Amino acid sequence: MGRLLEIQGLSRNFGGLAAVNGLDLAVDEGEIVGLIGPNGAGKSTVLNLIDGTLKVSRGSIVFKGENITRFPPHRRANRGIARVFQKNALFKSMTVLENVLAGSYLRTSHGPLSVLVRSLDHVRTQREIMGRCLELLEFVGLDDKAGEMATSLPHGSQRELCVAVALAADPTLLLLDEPLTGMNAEETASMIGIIKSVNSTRGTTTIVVEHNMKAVLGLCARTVVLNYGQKLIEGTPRQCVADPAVIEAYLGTDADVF
Amino acid sequence: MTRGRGPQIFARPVLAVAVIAIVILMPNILSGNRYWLTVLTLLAINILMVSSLRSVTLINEISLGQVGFAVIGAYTHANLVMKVGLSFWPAMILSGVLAAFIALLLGYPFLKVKGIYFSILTLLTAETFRLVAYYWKDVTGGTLGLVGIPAPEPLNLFGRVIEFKTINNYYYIAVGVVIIALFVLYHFERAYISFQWRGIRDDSMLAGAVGVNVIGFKMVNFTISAFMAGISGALFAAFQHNLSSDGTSRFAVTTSIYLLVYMVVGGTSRFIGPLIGTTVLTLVAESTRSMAEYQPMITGAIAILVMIFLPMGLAGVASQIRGWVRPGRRPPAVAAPAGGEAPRADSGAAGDG
Repeated sequence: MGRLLEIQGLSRNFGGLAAVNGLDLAVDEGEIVGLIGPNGAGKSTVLNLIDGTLKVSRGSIVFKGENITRFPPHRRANRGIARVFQKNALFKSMTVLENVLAGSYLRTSHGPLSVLVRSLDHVRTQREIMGRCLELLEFVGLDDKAGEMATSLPHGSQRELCVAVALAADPTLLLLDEPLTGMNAEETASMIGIIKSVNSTRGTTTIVVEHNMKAVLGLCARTVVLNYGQKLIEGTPRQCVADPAVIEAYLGTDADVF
Repeated sequence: MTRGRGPQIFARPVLAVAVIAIVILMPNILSGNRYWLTVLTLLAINILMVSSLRSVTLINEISLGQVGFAVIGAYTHANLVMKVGLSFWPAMILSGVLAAFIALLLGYPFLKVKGIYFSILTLLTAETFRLVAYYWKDVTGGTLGLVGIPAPEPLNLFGRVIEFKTINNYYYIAVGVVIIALFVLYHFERAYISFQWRGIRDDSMLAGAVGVNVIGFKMVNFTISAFMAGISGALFAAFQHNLSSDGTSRFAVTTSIYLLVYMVVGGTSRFIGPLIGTTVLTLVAESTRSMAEYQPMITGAIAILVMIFLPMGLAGVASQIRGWVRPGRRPPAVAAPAGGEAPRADSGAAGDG
């Protein structure tokens, strides 16, 4: 397995606050890596830096051997990085199917000018894309809701749709920001199934930020614990959970409590 | 899509043809009433301005700088015709191109900011353009303004010469250009590019994450809208025959505000909104000309009433009434707050090709 993502000395400051501070992280192809840590540890910021939503203050991000540190989000998406945001980010004026179509944008066109001069094989490509999008909806179990407005779905289904939108461009690296938040047991199980099956059938490398430790134990072979923007420890989920430094980071020391 | 739209599909072209026929026959209907033809010509020019303003709302921004691009268009047109000696048509196109080019240059820094900051930037830029025009004596005539901008050259149609010096015939040019421009804007809104614009409007962060070049598409949008504003400025220059850019002229801040009111009263969710809003408020203003000092108040009252009772604007009246009559059926514009028509167009474009 080759190295897919190589992060070195990654830092991001918000004014005087170092949200991420000198993080090194390497991810191999086909892995599911869990990114955990207490609130405010910088987990979401790391994802934002990887997908380009935030600009990197210092350090480098190498993806598929290419330095993408200074790339804007759409160019990173172009290289195969997809993102599921923590909130249910969906195109609210579009139906379920249209959302996935929008997600498959990368397959249809490349820039403002290529859209203006639309190519002749547009219709054929559109048919292909439509078929693929419907398959994807079936995969996440939303094919019967294709014509509904995306925002009319219940929370759990919206979350699944977010994943479908992210998968529509057939990414190499999938970034999931708390995919299980606010879900009931049934929805959680279904989402875990989706993430696992994406990984096993498509070979999509996944980085997942999640607070549900049971899910992390079930999903990830490797976890990275962050605290105050720095890596605390890296290892199997069980190692990490048992580590005294991690327990201290989550619960604080005695002195903090009393 | 899911809702049956049978009769409307036929109703629309019929309505469009009827409107265009009335527009063409207007000078005959009014039997050459100069006053009303002047009002209607200015109305057409204003409709193009408001439509160009509305097209920026497709990327979820409000531009208060359309007047600034009209300034550029108007003075470019005047200079190209009077000093360079170009004829009306190429001068008009070049005026639009220059306005678009300046929008392209400004677009990158401007569109990096959002919301109220973008609006403020565009407003101040428009005012800056006006002040430049006010003081740049060599090009704009400075405080005296430019006088004697010629009307379009006479057209020789199979030996029959058509003059455009009178408002009767210039009306046709203005209305014709505006209709073509609106057709182009409408095409953009229905074309595949609006899929990207809607994506940006709905959630620009997600749009970027799925690979949309957010800033690029915003710049294309802003540039197209500035082109249209520039064209309307050129039409205005040739209509008015003289240009002035002092604080009470057409290019002042108040115009920006009025354009915004026209747009809101008409409704932003539909393409037809600016046409309805501008027409209604212009007619109201003309019919209350005897109480000129109360006009801003009347316009304001109408705007407030529309905002309270018709949040979708006058263009959304039909679907709103449908919503009242049959509450079970959600009016489309609620699901698609800005761009009620676009979703169907896109699903068609994306689906059937």
